[in-house]
Amino acid sequence: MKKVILKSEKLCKSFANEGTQNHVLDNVDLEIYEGDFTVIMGSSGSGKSTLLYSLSGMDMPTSGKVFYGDSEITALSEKKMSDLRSKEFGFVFQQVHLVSNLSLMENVLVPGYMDKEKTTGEVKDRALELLETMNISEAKDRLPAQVSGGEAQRAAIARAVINEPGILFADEPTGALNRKNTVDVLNLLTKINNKGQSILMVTHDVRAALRGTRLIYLEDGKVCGEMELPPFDEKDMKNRETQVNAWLSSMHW
Amino acid sequence: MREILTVIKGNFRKNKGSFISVAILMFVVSVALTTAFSVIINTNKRDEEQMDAGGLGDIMAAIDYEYQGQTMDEYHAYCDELANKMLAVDGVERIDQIPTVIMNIVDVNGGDGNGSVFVYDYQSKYLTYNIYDENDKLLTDFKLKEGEIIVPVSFKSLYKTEIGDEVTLELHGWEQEEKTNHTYKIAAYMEDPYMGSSVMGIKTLLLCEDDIASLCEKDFTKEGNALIFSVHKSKESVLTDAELEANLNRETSYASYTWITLTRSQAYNYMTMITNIFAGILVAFIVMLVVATIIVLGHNISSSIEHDFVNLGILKAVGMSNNKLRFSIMLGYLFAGLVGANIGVPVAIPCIAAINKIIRPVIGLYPESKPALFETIISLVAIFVIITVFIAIKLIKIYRITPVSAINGGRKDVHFSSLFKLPISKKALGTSLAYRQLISGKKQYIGAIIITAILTLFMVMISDMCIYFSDEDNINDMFAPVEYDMYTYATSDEEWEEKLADAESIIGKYTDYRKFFYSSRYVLLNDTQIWCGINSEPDYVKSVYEGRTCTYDNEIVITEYMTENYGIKLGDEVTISLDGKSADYIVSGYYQCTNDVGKNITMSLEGYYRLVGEPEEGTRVGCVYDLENDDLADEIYEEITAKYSEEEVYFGYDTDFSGDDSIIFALYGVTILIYILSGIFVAITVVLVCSKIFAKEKQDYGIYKAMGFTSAKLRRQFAVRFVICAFIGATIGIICTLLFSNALLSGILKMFGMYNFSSSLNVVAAIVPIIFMSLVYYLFSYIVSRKMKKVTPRVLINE
Repeated sequence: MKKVILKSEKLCKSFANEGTQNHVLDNVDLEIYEGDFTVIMGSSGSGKSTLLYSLSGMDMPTSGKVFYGDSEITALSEKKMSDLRSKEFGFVFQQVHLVSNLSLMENVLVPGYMDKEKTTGEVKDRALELLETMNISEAKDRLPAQVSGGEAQRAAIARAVINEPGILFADEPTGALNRKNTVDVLNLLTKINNKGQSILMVTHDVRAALRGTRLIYLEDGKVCGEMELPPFDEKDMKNRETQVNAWLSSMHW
Repeated sequence: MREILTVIKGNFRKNKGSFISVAILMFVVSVALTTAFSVIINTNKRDEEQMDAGGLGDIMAAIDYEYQGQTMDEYHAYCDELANKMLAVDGVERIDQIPTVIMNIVDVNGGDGNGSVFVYDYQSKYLTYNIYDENDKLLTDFKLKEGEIIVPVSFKSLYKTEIGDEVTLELHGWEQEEKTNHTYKIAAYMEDPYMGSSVMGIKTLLLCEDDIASLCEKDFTKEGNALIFSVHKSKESVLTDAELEANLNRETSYASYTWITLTRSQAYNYMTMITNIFAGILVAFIVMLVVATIIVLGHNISSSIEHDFVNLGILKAVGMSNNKLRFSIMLGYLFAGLVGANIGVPVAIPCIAAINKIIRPVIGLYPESKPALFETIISLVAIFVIITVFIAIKLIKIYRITPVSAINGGRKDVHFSSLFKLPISKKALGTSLAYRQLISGKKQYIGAIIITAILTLFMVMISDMCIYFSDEDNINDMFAPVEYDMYTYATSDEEWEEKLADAESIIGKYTDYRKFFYSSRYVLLNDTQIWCGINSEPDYVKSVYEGRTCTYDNEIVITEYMTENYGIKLGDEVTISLDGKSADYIVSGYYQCTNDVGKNITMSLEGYYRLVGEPEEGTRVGCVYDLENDDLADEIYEEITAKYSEEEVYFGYDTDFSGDDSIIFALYGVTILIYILSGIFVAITVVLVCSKIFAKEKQDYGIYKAMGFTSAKLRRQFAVRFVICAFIGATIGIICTLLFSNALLSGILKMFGMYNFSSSLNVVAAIVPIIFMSLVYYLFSYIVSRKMKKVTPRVLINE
C-alpha cells in the first residue's frame, strides 16, 4: 500500500480575463504517492503547470484544498509555507531560475544554510557531493551566465534537493535544453528517484514522460486518465515507449 | 507629432512613479531656490530702500566730543568748521549735522545689556524710520509718549523683549565722571537699515523730544550730547563710498576726530551679512540638490531604457526614429520637471514669509515675502537647459537598441566576479546575500551613494558649523585675536596702583594668570579708517596662520579682508595715521579676527607708541588678564567688586559676543531645513532606485521565495543593502567634509570676516548624518519593498 504524500480535493483555479472567468483547473481530486516519479502530461493550455504550482503552494487555488501529509497547505500562513518550501519541497523550473549573482555552489548553499539544524560544514559537504553527482563540481564557482543551460539546470536540481525534500516538483525541466542536456537531466532525476526521492514533474515531452512511474493526463483542467509504469530501465525503453504512446493516443494526445 | 504624444502618454502610464518623483525633486529644488533667492534679494532690496528713505546719507560719522574744546558751543563750532572742510571735498553734496544722545545700555528686560546707542528724536527732521508693533504690523500714525522708547526689532532676539519691557540707559555727563541711569518702556519696534542687525554692536534708539530735552538739560544742548555727520554724495559723483571716505580722510583727516564712521556700503554689508551667509549656504546646497537631481534622473533614464528595451525595439521596428524616441522621453521628463518647478514657486511664498519671520529679529529688517520671480525664473531656465542637455546625452543609448535584439527579449544581467565579493555566510545569510546583491549591481547604487555623499557633506558641514558657533570660546576667539578673561581700566583714584595690586593678589589667590596690555583704536591705513588691535605681548596673538606675529615695532598683522579689499599683502609697507601723526609699518603676517567683519589690523604696544609717541611717565594704563582657570572669573569678579567700587578699581569679565544667540538660532534653522530637504531628497532617491531595482529583481525574489525565504526576511535583506549604500555614501561624505569643509566654509564665512575657518570634525556632527541617512534609507526601502508580499514564486511560471 503506497503512502499518499500530497493530495488535492476539488481543486479549482480560475483566471479573470476581460470580464470572463477562465477555469483552468476544474475540481481536481488527485493523490501523489511517496517514492513515485509522477508525470503530469497534457496538451498546451490543459492546466498542467497550474496544477503543479497549485499543488506545490507556489500559487493559491481559487477553491479546493491541498494537503501535504496531514497539513493543509492552502491554509498555511506565509511563514509556515516558507518553512515547508525550505524543508519539504524542492523546485526545478523550465527556465532554470538560478540567482544570477550567486555562483552555482552558492545557489545550492543558500537553501541549505536556511536549515538551522545543519552546520556550515555539513551544508558545504552535501552541496559538493550533489554537484559531483550532477557532474558539475568543476563549474561550481562559475556564475549562471558562465555555464551551459544543462549545467545550470543540474545546479538547479542540486539546489532543489539539498535539503532532502519530501517531494521534488519539476516544471518542464528539460523544456529549454538541447537533446544531450535533456538526457543528462532526465538521468539525474531518475537517479535520485531511484534513491527514494518523490518527484512530481510536468512535461509535454514523451521522452521525459518515459522516466515516470505514474503518468497522469490532464485535459481542460480535469484528470482524464492515468497509467502506472515500472521503474525506469533503459534496456526496456522501446517497450515502455510503445506503451506510453498507446496510452497517450487513447487520451487523444 | 501625434505618435510622439501617444508614446509620451504611454510612458506616463507605465512610469508614473518615475515622473512623479522627478516632479517632486524639481518641486523641492524650485521651493528651495525661490525661497533662498527671494530672501536674499528682498532683504538686500529692503535695506537699500530703507537707507534711501532713512536719511543717514552715504557716510555717517559720530564726531567725538573728547576732541572739541571745553563747551558744547565750542564743540558745535568745531563741527561746523570740520563740516565746511569736508563740504569742499569733491563729490560731497551736503552734510547734515544730526543731534544725538550717545548713551550705554545697562539693562534690558531685567537682564544685563551692553553696547553703546545713538538716541534720536523720533520726529527728527533728518531721519525717518518705519515703526512696528509687537506683531510686526506697520504703525503709520504712531505717537511716542514721555517715558517710552522705540528699539530696533533685533532687541527681540538679543534681549527677548516684548512691548512694555523696560530699557535702562546710562548717560555720562560732560566731564564723563557723573553717570545717570534713565529707564524707558518699550512702546514699539523700529526698522533701522544702518545698525538694526543683531550683529552690530551699536544700536539706534528713539525717544520723544521732551525726554531728549530732559536728558540734556543739565550739560548739553536740548537736542543731544553729540553730532552725527550725515554725508551725502552728489548725484553726479561716480566715487564709491570707500573712495569718498578715503578722499575725505586725505583732505580733512576727519576720521581722526570721529568716534565711529560707517559708510552706506559698509552698513549694507553688515545688515545683509547674516542673510547672505545663510542664503549662501542654502544656494550652495541647492546647487548640490540640482546635481543630485541630475544623478537621480540619469539613473532613472538608464533603468527605464533597460526596462523598456523591448518596447523601444518594437517602436523602432514600427518606424519610430531614434530622435523621435529621444524627444518623446525627454519631453516626458521635462514636462514632469516643469510641473514640479511651477508648483514650487507659489508654494515658496509661505516659506519666504516663514524665513523672513525667523530672520527678522536677527537682521533687523522687514523684507517683503513676495518671490523674486525674475531671478528665480532665470535660474530655473538655466537648470532646465542643463537637465535637457544631460537627458539628451543620456538618451544616446537609444541609438544602440536594434529592433531584433530588443524583440528577442532584451538584455539580461550578466554578472562577473568582483574584487569586493565576500562569501555567502550561514551565520549572516541575509546580510551576506544583501551585500552580494549590492556589489552585483553596483552601477545601480552609485547614484544613490553619490547623492548621499553630497548631502552628508552638507549635513556634517552645517552641523559642525552649528557646534562651532554654539561654543562661546569659538565666538570669542573670532572677535578677540588674543585670549583674555578679565580686563581693568585705569581710574582716577589716588591709590589706584596699590588697590590694583591688591585686586591682582585676589586673582592670584584663585588661579595663575597672564597680564598684558590689550586695547583697540580706529586708525587710518592708507586714508581708510581701520580697527586696530594693540597688544603688549604680540606672541599672545594666537590666530596668526601665515607669516608671523608683529614682533617688532614696525610690524603689523592683517586679515585677508585687507588683501581682498585694499590689496595689501604680506611684506607690503603701509602708512598708518592717528591724530595727525603717521608711521610706516611692514605686514608681517595674516591673522584671523572678525572685528568689523574682518576690516582690521593688529600691532604691538611698542608699534602703537612708535605712532603716537611714548606716554608721559606715570600715565595710568589698563590691562587684561588671561586666567589659567577661566571658570573662576565670575567668583574673582564678585570678590574684587565686593571689596572695591568701580571708581576705585574697575574690573570687567564679560566678553560675550552679543549677537550669538540669534545667529545660532538661525543657524539651527538652516540646519533643520537642510536635514529636511536632504531627507526628502534621499527618500525620493531611495524610492526611485528601490522601485527600479525591485522591478528588475522581482524574479530573484520569486526564486528566494521558492527556496523558502519569507517576505519579511527578503524585505529586511532588501533594506539592508540600502543601509550599506547609506553607510558608504555617508562615509564618503564625511571624508569629503574632512577634505573640503573648511575651505568651503571659509569661502562662505569670509562675508563674516572669517577667512580661515578651521574646525576639527566633531564626532556627533559626523555620526548624526550617518544614522539619519541609514534610517531614511532603511525606512523607505522597507516601505517600497512592501510589494514583496505580493511576489509569489508564480512569477517564475512560464505557461
